[in-house]
Amino acid sequence: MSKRPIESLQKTDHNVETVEFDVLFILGVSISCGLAGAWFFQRLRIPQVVGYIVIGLIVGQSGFGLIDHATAAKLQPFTLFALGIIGFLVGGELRSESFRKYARQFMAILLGEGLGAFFLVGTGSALIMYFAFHNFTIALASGIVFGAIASATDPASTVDVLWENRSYGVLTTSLTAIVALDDALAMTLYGLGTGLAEILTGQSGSIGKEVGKVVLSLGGAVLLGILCAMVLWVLLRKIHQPEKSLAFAVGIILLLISVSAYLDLDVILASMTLGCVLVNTSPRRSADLFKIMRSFSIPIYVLFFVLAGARLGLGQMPGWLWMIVLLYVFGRGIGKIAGTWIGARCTHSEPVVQRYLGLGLFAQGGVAIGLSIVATHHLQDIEITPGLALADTIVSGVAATTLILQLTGPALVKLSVKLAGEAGRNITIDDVIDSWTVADVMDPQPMLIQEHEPVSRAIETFISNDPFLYPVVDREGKMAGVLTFEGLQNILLDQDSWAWLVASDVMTTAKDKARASLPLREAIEQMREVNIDEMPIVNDEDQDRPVGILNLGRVRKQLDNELIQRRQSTPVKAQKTDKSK
Amino acid sequence: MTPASNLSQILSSERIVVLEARHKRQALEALIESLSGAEEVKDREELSKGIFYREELMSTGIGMGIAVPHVRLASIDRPVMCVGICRSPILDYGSLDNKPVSLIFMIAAGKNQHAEYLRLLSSISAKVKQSEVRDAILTAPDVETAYRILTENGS
Repeated sequence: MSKRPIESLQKTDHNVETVEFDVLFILGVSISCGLAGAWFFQRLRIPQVVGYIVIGLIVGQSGFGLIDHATAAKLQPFTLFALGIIGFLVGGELRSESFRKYARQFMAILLGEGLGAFFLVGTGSALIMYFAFHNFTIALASGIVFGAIASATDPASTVDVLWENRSYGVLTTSLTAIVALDDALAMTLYGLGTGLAEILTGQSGSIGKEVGKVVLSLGGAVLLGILCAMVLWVLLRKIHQPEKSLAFAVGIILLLISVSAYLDLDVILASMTLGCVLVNTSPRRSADLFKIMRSFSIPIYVLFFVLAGARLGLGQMPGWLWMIVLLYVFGRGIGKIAGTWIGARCTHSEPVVQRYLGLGLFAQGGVAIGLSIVATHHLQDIEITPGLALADTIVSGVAATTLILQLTGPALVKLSVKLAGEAGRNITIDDVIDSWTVADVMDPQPMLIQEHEPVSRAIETFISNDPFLYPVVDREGKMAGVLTFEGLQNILLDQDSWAWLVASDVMTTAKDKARASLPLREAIEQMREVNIDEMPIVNDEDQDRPVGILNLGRVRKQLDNELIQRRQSTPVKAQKTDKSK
Repeated sequence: MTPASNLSQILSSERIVVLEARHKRQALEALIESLSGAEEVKDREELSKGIFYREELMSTGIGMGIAVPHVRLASIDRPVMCVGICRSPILDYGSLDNKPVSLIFMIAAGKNQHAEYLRLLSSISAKVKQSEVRDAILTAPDVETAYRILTENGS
C-alpha cells in the first residue's frame, strides 16, 4: 500500500502552522473515523475498541501511512494523557470491599495467569529461537523477555468492553482487578527477565539492579498516586460542582503523568492508584467526578486506540518470527486460561470465575508495546545474527501479537462476560428511572380529603397516616387543592378553629402536580426544582382528577429494590419494558 | 408588613355596618355589598359566589353569636374585612352551637395568602370569643366606637 505521510501535502516553510495542522487534522480524522469504525463493528456485534484499532491500522503505518512514525511520536504526550485518564477510571473500578472479599483469590489467579503465560510463551519462544539460531543464551534471553511481556493484559480495552456491555458480577469484578494488577506483575517479571537476559548475553547488568529499578518504578508510582489522591480528596471536599472538580482532576492527572514520566515511574499504575484511593476514601463525593470523567474520556479512548493501531507496523517479518508470534498468541492464551483455572480452583472461586475468567484476559496493549520498546534500550547491543538485533525482533514480534490480540481479545472479553451471564447487568439507578413513568411508582390509592371536611377530621387523617400531603377534592371528585402538614402549621395551636374551619379553608393551591404518564425522571426533576417530597398525580385525560401521590422516599425505596432485582436477574434490554414493581 | 391580624390594616370604620337583616342570606348580601366597595375587591360576583359556596360546605357560624364568613379569591391581593352588627340576632344562620348570630366578620383574602389568612381567622375568633369584647361591640353607640374596640384590643 502506498504510504503518503501528511507532511508531504504541506508547505514546509511554515513549520509551526504545518505541525498544528497535522496534529489537529489527525486528531479529527482519528476521532471521526474511529467512531464510525466502532459503529460499524458494533453492528457486527464486535466490540467498539476493535473498530478503533482497525481504523488506526488503516490510517497508520500498516495502512495508508497517514500517521507515520514522526507524527505518532508527536502525539506521544497525548497517549500518556490518555493512559493517565484510562488508569484513573480503571482505578475507580477497584473498590476495597471487593479486594477485601476476594484478595486471596485475586492474588492466586494473578500469579496463575501471569506465570502461566510467562512460562508457556517463554518456553515456546525460547525453543523456536534455539531451533532457528542454535544459540542457547540468545534463545533463553528472548524467551524470558517474550514471556514477561506476555503476562501483561491490557486494562484499557478490557475495561472498555466491560463498560460497553454493562457487565456486573463476580467475574467482572475479578477481571477488572486482575487486569489492573497484572501490569505490575508483568513489569516485575520483565525487570527480572531483562536483568537475567543481559547477564546471560554477557552485557553488563544485574538482576538486583533491575529489580531495584522495578521496585522504585512501581513503588514510586503508588506513592505518587496516593499523594495526588490526597490532594484531589481535599479539593473535592471544597468543590461541589462536578464540572469544576473535573477540571481539577484533569489538572492533577496531567501533573501526575508529567512527574511519572520525569521520574521514570509507571504512569498507568500511578493513575490507577489515584483512582483507586479516591474511590475508596471518598466514594460519594467522587461518584459524580467518575461519572463526568467517563463521558469526558470517550474521545480520549477513541484517539488512544486509533493511535495504538496506527503505531502497529508489521513490516517485513521472517517466517520464524511469525512462528513465535503464533506460538506467543496460543501459548499466552493457554497459559492465561490454565493459570486462571488453577488459581481460581485452588482458592475455591466461583465456578464462573474458574470457567470464564481466563478468556477475558487475552487483550494486550500499551504495557506490552511499552515494555517491548523499553527492551530496545536494554537489549540494543545483542545481535541474533549479524545485522539482526534481538530488540528489533522483540518489538516486531510484540507488535504483531498485539495486533492479533487487540483484535481478538476484546471479542473474547465480551464472550467471557456473556458466558458468565454478567453482560447487561450493570444497571444504574438512572437506567431504572428512565424506564419508568410516574404511574409505575406512585401510590395509586391516595387518601382524599373532601373540601367540606372539618379540619379536626383532616388532622386526624394526618395523625393516623404516613403521607404529609393529601389532595382535597370537591363533590365531583375534582382536585380543589392540597392539604399539607406545612399548610396546617398556622392553626395547629388554635384547636378551637379546628371545629369551624374546613379543609377548603386550609388547603393550598396544587401548583405542582404531574400526569401519571409523565416520565419519572421529569417528575423527580420537577420536585427537586421546587424542593418538595410529595406531589399529587392527576389523570392523563382529566387533569383535575387526582389518581395518586408521588413520594420521593417511596420512589427511592422502589428504585433500590428494582435495581437489586434487575442486577440479579436478566440483562437490561429485557428489563427495559418490564414495569413491575 | 405586620401580620394581617393587625385589624386596623384590613378594616376601616366605613366597613362596619349595622345590619337590619333578619335572615342569613340578606345579612351576607349586605356585607358583600359593603365589602365590594373596598378597593381590594375587584370582582363582586366572584366574592358573592365564593362566600355562598363556602357556606354550602359548612356554616361559618362559629358559636357564641359570632359568624366568620370568609373566602380566598384569585382577584384579591390584600386581605380585607367588614363587620356586620346585627340589630336583631339572625336565627337561621345555622351556627355550630345553634345560637343566633349577632356579629358577622366577613373576610376576603388572596388565593396565595394562605398563612396570613389563617392567622387572621384565628386572631379574630380568639378576640371576639372574649365576652367583654363582644358585648362592648354590640353595645357600642356608633361604628367609630366599635372600630376602636376592635382595632385597639390585642391587635
